[in-house]
Amino acid sequence: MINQDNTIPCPVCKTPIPFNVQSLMAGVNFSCPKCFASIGLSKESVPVVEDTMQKLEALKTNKNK
Amino acid sequence: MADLADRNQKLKPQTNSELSIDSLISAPLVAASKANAEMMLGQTHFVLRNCFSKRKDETNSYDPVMIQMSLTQSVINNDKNPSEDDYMTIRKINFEVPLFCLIPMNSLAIDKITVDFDMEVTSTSSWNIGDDESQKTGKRVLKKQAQLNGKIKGGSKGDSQYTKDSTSKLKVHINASPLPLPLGMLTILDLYSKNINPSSNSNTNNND
Repeated sequence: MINQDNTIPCPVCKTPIPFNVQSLMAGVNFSCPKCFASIGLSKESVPVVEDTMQKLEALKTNKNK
Repeated sequence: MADLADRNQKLKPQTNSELSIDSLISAPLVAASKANAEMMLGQTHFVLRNCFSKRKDETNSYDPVMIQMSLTQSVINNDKNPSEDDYMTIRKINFEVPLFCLIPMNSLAIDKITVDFDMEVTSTSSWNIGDDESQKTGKRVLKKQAQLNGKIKGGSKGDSQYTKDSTSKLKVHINASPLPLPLGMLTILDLYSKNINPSSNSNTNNND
């Protein structure tokens, strides 16, 4: 399942594709081990994910308090 | 000013005061459950503020913030000859997933707490269980209930009455570990995981 084990089901064959959010934000594509289709984060969605990750880090370190 | 002074006096740590055994045991547990609730609340607020958008209508429901991902796949055209340019093309498809699917949420919570102290019983009290109470419970196993009061055993430094420094030893060991996500979150994640269906993006150049 997504989020729980950092995998996303391949939209083509449903095989779990392991991913890393930091690498996705850096523009890395992750390939499906079965059908070799690769997934990546669209450029227009990178700022949204970056902003949320920064807020999550702030929450972890209590910087927002 | 008088109120403030009274409040400060109440909050002043008292290391040598007598407490009931219930209070001694429950105080660290209450603190741990408060900490747990605070962590869960912080995470819930974070998810609702950043990963969902609230509808501006009378329903006040939340919609997940969607992000766009792209799928790149090589497609072989069997009708063409391998020597031809169009034999293998690269197909690019966009699909959307909720933002919180990518955010590594680990719902950390306190799952084990050990309270360790030596108690010096200083007084006991007991009382009869009234008839009203026994009627409520339906059973009358105990006729008397007891209450233990005491001080946490510690040490003292110094020998004169002016330099004596008393300490109390109450050890609290806390262990926190990631817990499974709430059922609601898991249901949404499961729903999206099983239904990621790409749709063709007509604006994307198929041959790039």
